[in-house]
Amino acid sequence: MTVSGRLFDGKSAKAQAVLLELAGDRLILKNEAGVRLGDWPLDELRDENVVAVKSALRVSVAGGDEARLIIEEPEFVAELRRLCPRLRKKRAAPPGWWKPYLYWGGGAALSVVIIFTVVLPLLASQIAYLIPDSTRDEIGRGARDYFINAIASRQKTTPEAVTCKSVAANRVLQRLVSDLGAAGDGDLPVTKVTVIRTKAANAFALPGGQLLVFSGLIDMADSPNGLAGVLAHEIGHAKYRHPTRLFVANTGVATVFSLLLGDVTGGTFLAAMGQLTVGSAYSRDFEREADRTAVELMQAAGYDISPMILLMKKISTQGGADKFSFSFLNSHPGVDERISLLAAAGNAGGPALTAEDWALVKNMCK
Amino acid sequence: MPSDSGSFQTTGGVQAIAAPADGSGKISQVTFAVSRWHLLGRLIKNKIFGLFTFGFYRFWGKTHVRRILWEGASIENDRLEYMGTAKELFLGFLIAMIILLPLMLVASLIAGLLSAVTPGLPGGSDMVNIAVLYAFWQFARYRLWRYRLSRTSWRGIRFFLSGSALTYAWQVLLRMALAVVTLGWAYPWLRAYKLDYQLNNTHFGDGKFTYEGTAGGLFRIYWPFILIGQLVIGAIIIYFISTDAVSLSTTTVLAVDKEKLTAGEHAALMLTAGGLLIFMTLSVLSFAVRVWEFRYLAGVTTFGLARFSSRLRIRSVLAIFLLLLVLMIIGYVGFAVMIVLIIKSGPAAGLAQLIFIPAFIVAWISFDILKTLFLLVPLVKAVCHSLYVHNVDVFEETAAMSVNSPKYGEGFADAMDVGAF
Repeated sequence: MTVSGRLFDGKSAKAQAVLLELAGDRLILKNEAGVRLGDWPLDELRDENVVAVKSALRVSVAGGDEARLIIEEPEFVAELRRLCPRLRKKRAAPPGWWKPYLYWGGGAALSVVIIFTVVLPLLASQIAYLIPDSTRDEIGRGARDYFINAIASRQKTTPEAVTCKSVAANRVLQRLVSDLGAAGDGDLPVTKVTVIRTKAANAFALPGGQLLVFSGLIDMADSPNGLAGVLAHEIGHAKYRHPTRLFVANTGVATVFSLLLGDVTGGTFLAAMGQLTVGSAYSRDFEREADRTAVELMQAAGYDISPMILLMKKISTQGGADKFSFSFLNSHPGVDERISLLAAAGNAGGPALTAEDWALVKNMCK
Repeated sequence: MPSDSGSFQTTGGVQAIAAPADGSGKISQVTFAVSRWHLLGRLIKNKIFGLFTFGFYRFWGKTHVRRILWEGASIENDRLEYMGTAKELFLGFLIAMIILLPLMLVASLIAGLLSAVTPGLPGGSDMVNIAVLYAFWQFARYRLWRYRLSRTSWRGIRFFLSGSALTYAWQVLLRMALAVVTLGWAYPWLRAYKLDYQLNNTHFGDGKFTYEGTAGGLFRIYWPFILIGQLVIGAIIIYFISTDAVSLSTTTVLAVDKEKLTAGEHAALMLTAGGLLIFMTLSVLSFAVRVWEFRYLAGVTTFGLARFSSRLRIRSVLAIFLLLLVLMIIGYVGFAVMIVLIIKSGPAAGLAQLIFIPAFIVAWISFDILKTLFLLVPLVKAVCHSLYVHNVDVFEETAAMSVNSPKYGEGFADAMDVGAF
């Protein structure tokens, strides 16, 4: 049986009319002058149509060969389908096909692991110390004013009205923070305390030695040592520059996950989950570090830290943690663990403030 | 609209350029046909495998979809063929990860730090951020086009894209900045550059496409759109300022007074209706502009003595979008009804919640599939069927050319997931 077909030889876009005939297990291609153009083994033929066409074939003969033979004679097509059982099968991959997967895959996996375990933590701590002090001070002041403005506009009043201005009470707090800082290795990570009139029980460290305390925290504290413990905890954050480090780590984690997963079904969701788990692991480490610092500072200053446990329990049962990053209580799963760390420190030491000073602080926002 | 202003009308534009001496060239329509059932099966498979492989199946899934779509298009009864492989895409992605990851990490950190260091200048670092991202996106898109063209073959001969993605991204960024500064009036110039660079760098075998469009030609298409857009935005701003709902606050940020905005249901209704009207008008106009632009570029593009023309109609494009809109509304209503029924008949609230989450995921996935089947496919079909190749025999004279086509996939582009399919 001789039928005609069209051959695109992969070298020119012009179709060549060819005559096809079957010779044993081979397909012979000849041009109209009878010159043999191809001798294709039937075993190697593949139909390149992704969606099979009933009475037509687009045949290729080898993996890298871009020649295509178009056959549109229904009977011959049926005959070829019968003779070539592998017409619709995939070609076997060449030996060693897995090597590039292994090399590049291994390289990429290694790159991700190194970035998570070495580069990100290193970058995070280095960048935190690389920023010049004057810049950090500026960031801190800007952030403080931003928070004060935000709270003022939420309460529909002026920034002046939400700041607790009592000179005597502020001096007391300032002195308490200085004493706590000096009780450590002498450097003063927190230089400026600002108390804001708002119901939330919260405190957080900002870059550049700024410390914000919400009056809700002072209201909730039954003793000066609870408040002092929280301040010492925040001093710990400031001392190890946690705000900057968390910022760097979060940015990095987000970048890595979004690149890895692309934005396919579930990709965004998975990226968010990954960031949440990795990110909160970073921040739990930071909380632990700040708690340890709080214990050290309180003990070195000769203050009893145990009232802080009571205050923490009070805040956590109220669900007092706010949406601000670096609030005093922001990783709930760790609360029990943190309380046991503080409990281990015992209850040695005296009060952090005299009764008169504590009264001043308690009333500073009234 | 400005159909009488001439030059972008396909017939006018076409006849001015490269009309063959004998005028007897064969005219051939480009066609497109895919089996939606086959495509649907493939898309569902892709979604399922994608879920179970944390998205890593996307390289294989994309390749399968492309093979189906490419095969759907044919010129002179000869189909296009997608020659790319999932392996190329995946390796491209891995390589991009190794190179891109550290780069992106450093870039995003620098951007973040810049914004932290300059709190007084909230817009400044954001602008830099957006500009870098925009340029990078253009770069990635150019590479993506290069990969796709180099893996597209017709009659056994491949297309390819020359030119430098870096040059392209930089030049586009400059023109985009100018377009922003001139409030959109320089935008046609940006489009002109993009079309010029892309089309004049497009090759088929040893032949090259030539684009002879001008910025002036595109300006004649775009000016009504730019003008109307600006009038609308101007009117909105004036309206809000006149009603005192928006005022320039001390922090020079537009502060919106919600109470004044929602004062009276009448005003709210007016706002909604007005907003919808404006949105619809601008949407229709933007479709129209793209349709005119496509007809224009088809008319001024040649391949040797072969030339092109398009009769793409605005209403056929609009009909596609409307159909999708209707399907979406039906889908949403159906979904809502289903949820209500489940909640009403459900024995416990816990069960309803249990059903709700998978139902939501299914709805989300089906929207994606719906979009491919009822937006992408009909759009490609409309564009293909509108396109005519004059003197199509010219293509037969083309020979294959071994050129430096990208060895590995789309890499950068894929990691960022540029492109819909």
